[in-house]
Amino acid sequence: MKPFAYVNPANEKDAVAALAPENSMPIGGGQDLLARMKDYITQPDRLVNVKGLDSAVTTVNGGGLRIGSAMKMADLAEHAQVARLYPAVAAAAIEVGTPQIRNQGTVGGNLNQRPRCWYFRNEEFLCLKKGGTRCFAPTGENQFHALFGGGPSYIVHPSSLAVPFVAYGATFRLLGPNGERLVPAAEYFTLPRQNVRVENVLAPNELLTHVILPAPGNVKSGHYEVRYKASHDWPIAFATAVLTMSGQAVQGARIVMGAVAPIPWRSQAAEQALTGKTITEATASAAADAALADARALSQNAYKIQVAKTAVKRAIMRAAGLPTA
Amino acid sequence: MDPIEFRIKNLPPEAPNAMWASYLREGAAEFGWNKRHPTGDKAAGPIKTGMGVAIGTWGGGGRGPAQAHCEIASDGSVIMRVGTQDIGTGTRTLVAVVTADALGLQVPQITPEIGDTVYGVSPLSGGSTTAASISPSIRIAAIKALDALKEKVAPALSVDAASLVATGGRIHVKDNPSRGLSWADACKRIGPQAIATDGDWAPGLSSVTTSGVQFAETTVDIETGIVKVTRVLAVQDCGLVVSRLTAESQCYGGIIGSINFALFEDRILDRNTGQMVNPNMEWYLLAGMSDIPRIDLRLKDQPERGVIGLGEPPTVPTAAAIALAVRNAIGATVRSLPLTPARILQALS
Repeated sequence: MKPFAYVNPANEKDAVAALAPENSMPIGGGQDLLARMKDYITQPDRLVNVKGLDSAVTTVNGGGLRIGSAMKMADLAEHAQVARLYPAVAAAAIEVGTPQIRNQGTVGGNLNQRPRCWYFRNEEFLCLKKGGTRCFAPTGENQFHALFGGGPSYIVHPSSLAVPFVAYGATFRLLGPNGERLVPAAEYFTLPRQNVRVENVLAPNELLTHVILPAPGNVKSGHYEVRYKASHDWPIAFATAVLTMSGQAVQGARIVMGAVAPIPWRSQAAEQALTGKTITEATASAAADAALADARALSQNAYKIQVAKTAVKRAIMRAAGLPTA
Repeated sequence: MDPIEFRIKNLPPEAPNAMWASYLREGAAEFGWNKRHPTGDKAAGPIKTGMGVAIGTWGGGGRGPAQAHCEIASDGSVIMRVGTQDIGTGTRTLVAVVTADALGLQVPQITPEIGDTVYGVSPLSGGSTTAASISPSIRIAAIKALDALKEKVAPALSVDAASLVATGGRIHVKDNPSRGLSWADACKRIGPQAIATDGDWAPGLSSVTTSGVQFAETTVDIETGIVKVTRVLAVQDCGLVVSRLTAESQCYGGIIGSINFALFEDRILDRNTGQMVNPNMEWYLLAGMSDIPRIDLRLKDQPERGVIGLGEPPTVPTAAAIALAVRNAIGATVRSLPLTPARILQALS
């Protein structure tokens, strides 16, 4: 790890000002950034501590919630109001990492962590994301890489929270030197073809300060993660389903998959397949097939299509209160 | 054919410590093997359950040089020095247990000193040979020291040293515990120069070759390829059980190691550069607490065989038993480890 300066700002405005010099970075729980620094993947000159910024959950107009980005993952997972209104968020939070990681890691850090791709994380591979000329995954070891997104980088987005946030239609509040801007979660995350060096629209001198969840309304939601190990492992694929019901029938649906693309991957085909349907294992399965119909497997990750289908099917079934494995 | 019958029919007619047939029958009864369904679980739903069995053997014998050095001082203290180290296997405990047994003392009365080259030549920690190499040396050194102590005590009791024994913290005439001295009083006869004796490995106090049989029960989610081990039963011998707690701990550790072998451990090399892409605990997977099943042990004591190593023997059958339980669950055989979701789904397709 290289030496760096450390700034402890008093408030979010000072934090943004402290990010102004080039090569400054915000640090929350440090669960990702410190590991990258130790591995010489990221070498900031200056760290700006944002752990002390807003970590509260407050009710906003119309019955939604506003979550401070400095909130610890453990606190989010155990927050009763979050669990009641947005159960998929709580379900995603409780499965992240380990108790130690959840006690240290923050909501903002979870959303903005860099990819877990083992080529990106290895300083020996100068990949596209680090300014190199190629992605090593397509011809290399790609069993955990993307099924969607079309390259040129084949990372999967590492955030567990991003998926339910997109599914619930969350908005992110970003604060920069020129004030705040509100960006829908679905537009926050960007594909590699837009800018392969980053995963979102956050500028280097901006902070993601809050996640604003709209009032859930009459929805049922379900979340399902497929994990190789029971804990301390990254999901192979996962999904959140948010269903707006009209009696027994689905009036509208949001189906979003995780760990299958460089961004949380919403499937409108799956949503359309569910619309007007009663949820059964068969209709959930048909929607899952639709969700993966356009998947493009690399040389070793074709099995993830089946895994992701199962995640989608079970997330939908859970949303409908049906038992799943 | 039933896998247990298959194994019993094919066991070698003669083999050292060939205990597998009896262990298979005993383990089958305890594990509930009669509830095992034919290959391919017909239960409804995506979760399939299966049982598997495998047998294993390992050497684990001892050899010299394995020097041990015993000191008994006039204050009653006993030090046993052995150069070998404790890599977490309980060697320090074993040094104290074997010494205490030879001297008729309690384990806390012994001070084991290990892991220093000045204590003499001693074996490496490998091949499960440490316990069987150093236990004889320790016993020989301790008995020599005790014999020297008996010579000091015998005149005070007006008896022949050969008639004395050490049990229950006393040195006394055999079959007459009242005619003797407490350990502390006996040691007061030593004088300023501590008794110091050496021992080295000799045949007769250790053996070679263990037998083990293990049963595993797994579930397989056929829609995701995820395997979970739900139960393992091990019937295992290691000759004389020196310390049951330590020996059982070795079995748990060995079985957990082999669960990792079966399910998780995978050194993934980039096919283009040869670089290992998972050289960290994030992607080189090892079982966590939630991945560890219930493990039941039936540890066999064979005191007549002396000491045999137990580090590796329990790792031998586990992975095979798990892989066969997976076959019993899904009706397809996966022939490479680890049993990744990719491999399970491939076998099912």
